Amino acid sequence: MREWLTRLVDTLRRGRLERELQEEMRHHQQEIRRELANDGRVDADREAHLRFGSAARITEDARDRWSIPWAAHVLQDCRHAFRMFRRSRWFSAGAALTLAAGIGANGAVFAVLRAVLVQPLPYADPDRVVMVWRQQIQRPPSSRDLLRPVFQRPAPSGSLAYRIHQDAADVVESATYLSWQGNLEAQFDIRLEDRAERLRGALVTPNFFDVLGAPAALGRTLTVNDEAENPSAIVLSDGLWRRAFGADRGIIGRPITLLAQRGRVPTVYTVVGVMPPDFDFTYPESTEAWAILPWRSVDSPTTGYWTVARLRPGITREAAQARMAGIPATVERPDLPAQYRDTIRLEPIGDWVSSDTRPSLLLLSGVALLLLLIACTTVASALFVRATERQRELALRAAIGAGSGRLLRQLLTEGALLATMGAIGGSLIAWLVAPALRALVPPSVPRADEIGVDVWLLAFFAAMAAATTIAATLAPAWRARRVDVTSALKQSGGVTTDRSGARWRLGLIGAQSALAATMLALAALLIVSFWRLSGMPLGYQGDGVLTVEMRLLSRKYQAVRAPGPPGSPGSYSPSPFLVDFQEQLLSRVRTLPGVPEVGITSAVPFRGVDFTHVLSRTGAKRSVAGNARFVDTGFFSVLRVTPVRGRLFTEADTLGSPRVMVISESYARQMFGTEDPIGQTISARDGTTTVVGIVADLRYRSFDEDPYPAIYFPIRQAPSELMCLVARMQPGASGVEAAVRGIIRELDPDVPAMKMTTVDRILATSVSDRRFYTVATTTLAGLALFLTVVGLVVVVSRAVVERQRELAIRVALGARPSGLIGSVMRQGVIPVALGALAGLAVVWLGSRYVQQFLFQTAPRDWWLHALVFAVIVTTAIAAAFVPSRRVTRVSAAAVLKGE
Amino acid sequence: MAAKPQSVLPGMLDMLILKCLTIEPMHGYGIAQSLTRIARDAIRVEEGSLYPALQRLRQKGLVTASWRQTANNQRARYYAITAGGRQALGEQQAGFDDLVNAVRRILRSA
Repeated sequence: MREWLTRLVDTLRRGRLERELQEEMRHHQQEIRRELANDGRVDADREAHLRFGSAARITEDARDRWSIPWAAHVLQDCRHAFRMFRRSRWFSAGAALTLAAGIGANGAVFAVLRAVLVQPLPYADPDRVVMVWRQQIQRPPSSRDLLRPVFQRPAPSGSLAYRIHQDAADVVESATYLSWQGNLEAQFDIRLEDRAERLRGALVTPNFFDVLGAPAALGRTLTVNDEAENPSAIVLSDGLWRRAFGADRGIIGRPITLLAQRGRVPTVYTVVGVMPPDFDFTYPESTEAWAILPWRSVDSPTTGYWTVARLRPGITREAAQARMAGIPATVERPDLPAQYRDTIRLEPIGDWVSSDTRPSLLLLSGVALLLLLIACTTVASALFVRATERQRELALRAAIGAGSGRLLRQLLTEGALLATMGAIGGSLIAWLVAPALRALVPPSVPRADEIGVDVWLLAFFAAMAAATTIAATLAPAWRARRVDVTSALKQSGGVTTDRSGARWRLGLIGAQSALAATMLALAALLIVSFWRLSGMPLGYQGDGVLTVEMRLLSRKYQAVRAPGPPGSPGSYSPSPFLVDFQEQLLSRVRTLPGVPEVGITSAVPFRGVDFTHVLSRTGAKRSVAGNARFVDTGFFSVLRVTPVRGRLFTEADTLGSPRVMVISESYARQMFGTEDPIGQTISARDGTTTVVGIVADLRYRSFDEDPYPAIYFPIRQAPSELMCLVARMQPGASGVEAAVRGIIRELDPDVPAMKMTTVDRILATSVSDRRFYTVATTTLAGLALFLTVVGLVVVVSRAVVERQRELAIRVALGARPSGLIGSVMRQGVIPVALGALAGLAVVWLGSRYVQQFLFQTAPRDWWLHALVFAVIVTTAIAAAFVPSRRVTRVSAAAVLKGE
Repeated sequence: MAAKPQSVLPGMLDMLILKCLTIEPMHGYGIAQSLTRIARDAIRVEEGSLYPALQRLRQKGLVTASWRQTANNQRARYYAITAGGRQALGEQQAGFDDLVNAVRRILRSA
């Protein structure tokens, strides 16, 4: 090892070493001569030569020690390759950049894929952890957007979860929890210095962390003994610990007060542990605190409990699944018809976490791989073209005695150098893009914070690129063996025409065009889907409307029961605190500068809780379900909703006045058919309500779901503890958010102001994943088209050069330039057009897989395919025209004389 | 009795050079002189071949080289054996002894 290092160093200081050697040999020879002279020898010179040997040969021997034979050759090859690169600077830079784009794009996309789909979850042996779902045997057919979960995942009822824990204990250890997701009771509020905050808190059975196999970073997790001995134990997430407790390591064992349970009662918990930062259970939004859910309270038929389980050692998922089959029957009503009975489905936890993103991510990575293929083909076809040009050079070098191995090594070096430059550039791109991706991926993507460039993945793509490049560079050497040196050298002007090479080039450009067409068609379909989706009429205008959600859970806000006559159920009247909060909030926000209009609703578009009420007409039996929203007089005008018929709510609709409601058009149709609904009455438990107005249907859930029938009640008559402020802000108004927060804090410091944002932002977020995948796919497809154009230009330019003689003759014979241009262009454009057709056919055949990513767009949309084809062919014609114009500059005389 | 001088077996030259250098650092001519002197002219070395050998030993880290003045005020490169060189010499000597003994046993047998 050391010897080689020294040798390498010696290689670099060869000159000095040789001078020194000469000097010491001279000294030696002098000494010998002097010795011989002292002895009085006559032929001292000859004698000295005999004793010393040939200085030239000795120098040669020593020289061998100062060089590493292959290293010297590699260096020489590299120098030569760099000279070649410099000579065709644009070509080399283009090829390296093309490879870099392919490698970089894949490095970045696969960084996301790895974080979301491949990287194991932060649990011990995560493959053994499964989610337990109740699954209806008959799934409703849903051809809707499969970007959403393919399976509905209803949580098992408490009784079922309890039975699984008891009866299937031999195959799984299961833990059950009440998630904060969509479940009010499991949440806590925390009082921070300047505000109250709603925590994403969960209640979990004490074996929860053992089932996941996740230890605490500080302190300990919950243990089975805690249920009896330490029921107030709580475990905090790293994030909450830092945010609310300043990362205080002394927190363990300390009591903290949270506002908990339905009435937000101050409750003391004891912190037993803090989880490590990478621990997470709910994706993409993480849970922040875990308190104990006693097993005895789980066993209830009414509440759904999420259940996670770890397979016992040696038990397969199939075995556990089979074991589960019998359990639901024991808790279900035996009289239910078979199709309504539930079965239990065990789903690997990794699938659950990534389920929503998996199809889109796979699509994106597929597109990225296509781009890499295109990049490789582009470089390969460009190298092929150059190879033909270099045939003469190679033949010349072979003629002056370069061995075929030497030539091969030279070409190999060039290919490897090119691939290396591409790999370095690609890594750089991936490294730059990956952090940006972390910020750009939609919030629905789980584990986005784990996105990082993976060296091995980059190495893999780089190796792929290198293999292509090297194969393409070696091709001329392989062909050169068949090319007769003399005939290659005799070729006029260094131009060779090689029919098989030309065929290869056309094949490659066609393949490239096919790949690009596939990508472009996908991008076009996604764009049209996105455009149609975001163009769906909503029925309201949400731009510049600030929203904030409040839930008044404290006991004082709960409705008070008015004592009725003995025996009657009595009536409820709203809490005066609730009414006061509502009025104060409205009047104070209204005085803020820059806020001309304010309203209150129980549900914000695309978000929040939409209660479903089932009502019927007075005197009729048939009932109609609708989303009930509790709104004030300002709500409709803030969202620019005007009545279709009748009137909206006014200040006159108060607790004492006759009860009124506004219904949506579809509700009116379903409830009243062709009759005029205005003035009709609808019965509820506590009296009748008169319909006073009709509004249009509002698209309230998402862009792609049809509006559900809706009914509106005035909050003055039916105050709601769920209160969402909607405030239309003047453009450029600033500080409104902070001011609104301040007002809420002043009204009640224990009420968290949740999810403050604007309606347009909510709308944008709801399609952010579609936007991301559409933009990403389109970008990659654009790059693909660009690379195809580059490849085409190269091929056509080459065709012009190769056909120079033929064209010159035709010019001489009086051919018109336009005809010649056309003939040259056809050579490039026809394979591109054929390739594009093939690429579109792929989309056509794979439409079944494409369908799930689209919205109101047929994957075989004829017009769209025609458009993509037209774009590719037009671009190809434009690109081919530039180099083929050179045909007209061919001087017949010059070319023919040059023979 | 003046026998015909024997040439050095390949691989032995390194060992002989290292052995010479254990006496004191020497230049190439010095090494040649002492080899002839110690072997009493029984071994003949083409003196120039010392130099590629010295380069080899230097690259292996068995000797170091430095320029110094000779006794008669000329510049010459002196070679000195390193600790690694002494160790290598010991190993080579042991190996050579084994070889010579083995050859002797064969020649004396039968």
